[in-house]
Amino acid sequence: MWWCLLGLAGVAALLALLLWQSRRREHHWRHVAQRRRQQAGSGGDDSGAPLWLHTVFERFPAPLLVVDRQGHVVAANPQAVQAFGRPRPGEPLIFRLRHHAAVELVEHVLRDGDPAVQAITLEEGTVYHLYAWPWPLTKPPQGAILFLQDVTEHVHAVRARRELAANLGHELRTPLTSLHVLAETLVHGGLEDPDLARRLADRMLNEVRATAALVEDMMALSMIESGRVPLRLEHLPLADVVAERVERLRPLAEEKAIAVVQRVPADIVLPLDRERFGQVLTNLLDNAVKFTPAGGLVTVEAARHGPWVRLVVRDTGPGIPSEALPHIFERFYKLDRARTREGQQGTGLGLAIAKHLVLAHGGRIWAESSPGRGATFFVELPAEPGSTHAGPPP
Amino acid sequence: MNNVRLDFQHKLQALEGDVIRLGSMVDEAIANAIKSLEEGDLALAQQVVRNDEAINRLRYYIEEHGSALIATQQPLARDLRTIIAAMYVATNLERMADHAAGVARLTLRLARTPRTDLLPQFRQMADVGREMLNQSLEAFIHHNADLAHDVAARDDEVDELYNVIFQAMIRHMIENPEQVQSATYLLWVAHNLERVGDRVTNICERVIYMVTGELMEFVDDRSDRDLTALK
Repeated sequence: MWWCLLGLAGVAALLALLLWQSRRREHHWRHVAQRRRQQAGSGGDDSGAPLWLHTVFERFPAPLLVVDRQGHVVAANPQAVQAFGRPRPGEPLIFRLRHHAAVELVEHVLRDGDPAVQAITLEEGTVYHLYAWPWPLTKPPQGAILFLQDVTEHVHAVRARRELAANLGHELRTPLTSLHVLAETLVHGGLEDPDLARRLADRMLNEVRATAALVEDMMALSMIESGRVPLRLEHLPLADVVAERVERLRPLAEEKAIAVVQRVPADIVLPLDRERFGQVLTNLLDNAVKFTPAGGLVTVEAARHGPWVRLVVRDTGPGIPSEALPHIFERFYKLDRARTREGQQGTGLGLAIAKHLVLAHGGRIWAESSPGRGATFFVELPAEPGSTHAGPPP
Repeated sequence: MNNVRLDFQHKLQALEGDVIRLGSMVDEAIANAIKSLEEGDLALAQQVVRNDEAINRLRYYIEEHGSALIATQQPLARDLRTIIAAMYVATNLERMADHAAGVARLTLRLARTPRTDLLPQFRQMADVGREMLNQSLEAFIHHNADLAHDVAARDDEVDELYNVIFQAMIRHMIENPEQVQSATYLLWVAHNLERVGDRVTNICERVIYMVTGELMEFVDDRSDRDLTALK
């Protein structure tokens, strides 16, 4: 009897142990199956994602955001956190992407279940192409995945190209129209009067020279911008390069009774490309003389500022309005024509060329002015080769 | 945090999100209104006027959503003040959109790019107004009373620009009586932009109330500017 009871208890214990083990095994396999399903990408949360998917999300070189059906952010990759800040759990998307169009795009995707794209410009001026896909791949959508492509540079480049074509067309049309009129006058009777014919031919020659100068400047700028102009740097006394360029401009200055004063210490020796840096000086001095009224003063000074040498070209002209200052180094930017008298029009490229040549020398250029009190141009160059200005002009 | 509380917090966040969304729509309306004026873009001006309806709808939605939250959740203290502030901010945003639509309607009346040297000042007024708007919404979202104080102080910049335009327009009208009509329209444009600054100040007052519980009013010491401007 005793033995019987003990045997039954033993069998029961064995059965219980087997049942427990079987349940454990079942639980284990269920867990494995779930892991496998998640690894196959059939859903699951971030923690259940396979390692490679996790890596894609974390290392993707552009912002990625995941939102749920309510449009609340449920995940953001490091790029998104860097660009828009770290979202609080379940936060509405608009807290991160401050543009109503982003929310409307997500609403559209969640409603129709189709991917969509929209360009948005955020407050700080960054332009994104915002792509939104519904997830999961099968309908109905439970949320959306957002991918943001920064296209700011592309948008600016397209705008610059469009403006360049428009500006160039405008700049070429003016001399061509003049040439057209002059040639017509010459053909229709002008040839019969030798004096008139000579005057017309002279003016035609001037127009051709102006057009040729524009084309030359355009090509020079394009070469410098694309880095196809290697600088031939030599250690040169700055005072010599300045004196050379001032001499070239002296006839024009004397014609307007403008005094040009040079205060460049003889001991400043810099790594310079004589021709290219000379071009910078010519462009700055040419503007200074052009805009300074008769009897005025143009000053060229230089001094050491730590590891830099600062060259200053100052004039006593009408100055540059503050709203124009940020734009004067742009291609074809000209001060409004009311401020510039006839004959003072250049190609509109001189300062753009100067800027790019100074940058090629590892320096920086900027201007300061208050209307009625002249303009001052600053060029800062590294005293030793190899160092460059990393920051923007002050 | 229990589920009821969590649910309420989510609903409150959604309400704040809707206010930010409304602010973004208003910001765009102001940007497009001033652009249409500068470029004489009548299609863009018409678009601003048309979009005003969507802005009105969202404002009413926020009011309904806010009222429902108060009625069903019976929030207290700061939560209650946040909901009231959200509704009040939405009302002011909607009025700002009306000012933007006002600028757009005046652009349509002016029919083509207005010949005025003061466009940079109009642009500046709009830019300062938009910056103030966006910063005031930052203050609202982050419950930042200090920022709200700073933003409200910038209304003086807008008022200063308004004074410049006001005086120049009156002078222009005296010198060119035949252009009185277009100059008057431009004066209204400036007035609409000036009101944008005032509305942002209202929002800032409400943000301060939301954070501190203290109702205060930024006193406009330039309330007599229309008269002094002519001196």
